[in-house]
Amino acid sequence: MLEIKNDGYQVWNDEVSETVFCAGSFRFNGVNEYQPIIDLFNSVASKSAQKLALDLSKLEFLNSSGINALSRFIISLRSRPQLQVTMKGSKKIAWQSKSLPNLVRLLPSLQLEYLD
Amino acid sequence: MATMVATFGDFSEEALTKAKFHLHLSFPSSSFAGRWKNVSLSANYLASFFETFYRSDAQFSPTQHSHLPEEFQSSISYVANELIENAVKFNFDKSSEIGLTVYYGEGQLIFLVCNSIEARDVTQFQKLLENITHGDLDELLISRMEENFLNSESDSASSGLGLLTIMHDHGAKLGWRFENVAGKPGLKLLTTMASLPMVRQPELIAV
Repeated sequence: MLEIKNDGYQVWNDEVSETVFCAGSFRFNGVNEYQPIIDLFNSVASKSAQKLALDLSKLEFLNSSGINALSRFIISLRSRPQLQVTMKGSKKIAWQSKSLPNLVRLLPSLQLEYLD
Repeated sequence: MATMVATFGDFSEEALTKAKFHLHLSFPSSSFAGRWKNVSLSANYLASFFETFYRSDAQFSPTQHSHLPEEFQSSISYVANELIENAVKFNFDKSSEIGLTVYYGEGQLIFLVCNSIEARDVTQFQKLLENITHGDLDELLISRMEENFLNSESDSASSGLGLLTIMHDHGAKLGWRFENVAGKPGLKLLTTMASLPMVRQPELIAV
């Protein structure tokens, strides 16, 4: 499944731009509840030979279980060194410039860009 | 003789006495069972409520205040959400209430969350607190993320990361107090204190 949409959050893969988008608020109860989203990320990553782009620029809120799930996913990408990973954030969403840079330390090849 | 009260991290009630006002919310434990949305509603409400006071204070002394109002609101929301989630997750006595008090202090917003915890979990939890309150925050955060990856079954690791992000990403100080509960040796009362700074100059932040 390449799309997860529910009340307050959406995750979808756009094949044209080769980007996975996350929007809304992620407040799942515990890291295990993030598994369907991580599965979607992994599904896209495994189909791509060269690059993976994650656009979080419309993700208004991410709780610590989400930061946990995201950091585990980023670490797992170390086993796919051929993949160029880009993460897109927004400076207008305050948590992003506080918390996303930590992920670059987990995967130094990760490109973090702020769209605004 | 067993210690009646133990504190970890930055736990000082002195700053509370200088608070201009406070807001207290008390939830029956059942408020959140099957109603996870109430966590975000509560966190967002607190963030909106206190942002209005911060905004008018910041207008009078913009250079002194450390954040834009939107940024401050975002941190209140994150910290409150994390503290409430933890209180709900670990609250052991389902018949008791979870108490949340937020103090608008001198240069800081102070959150106090009270919940019961199981006495036999205390030792391990206190070890975690020792671990995350000693050392370089940068390194603690990254190594916790690395550990979480390796130990995917561990749930306490998840809480460790939440507490570390409160300190590292949002600049808040954390402290914890453990107290006995009269007549209930299997329980302890945990009070978690988070102090989110509002002003730049460190000497204005009471410790």
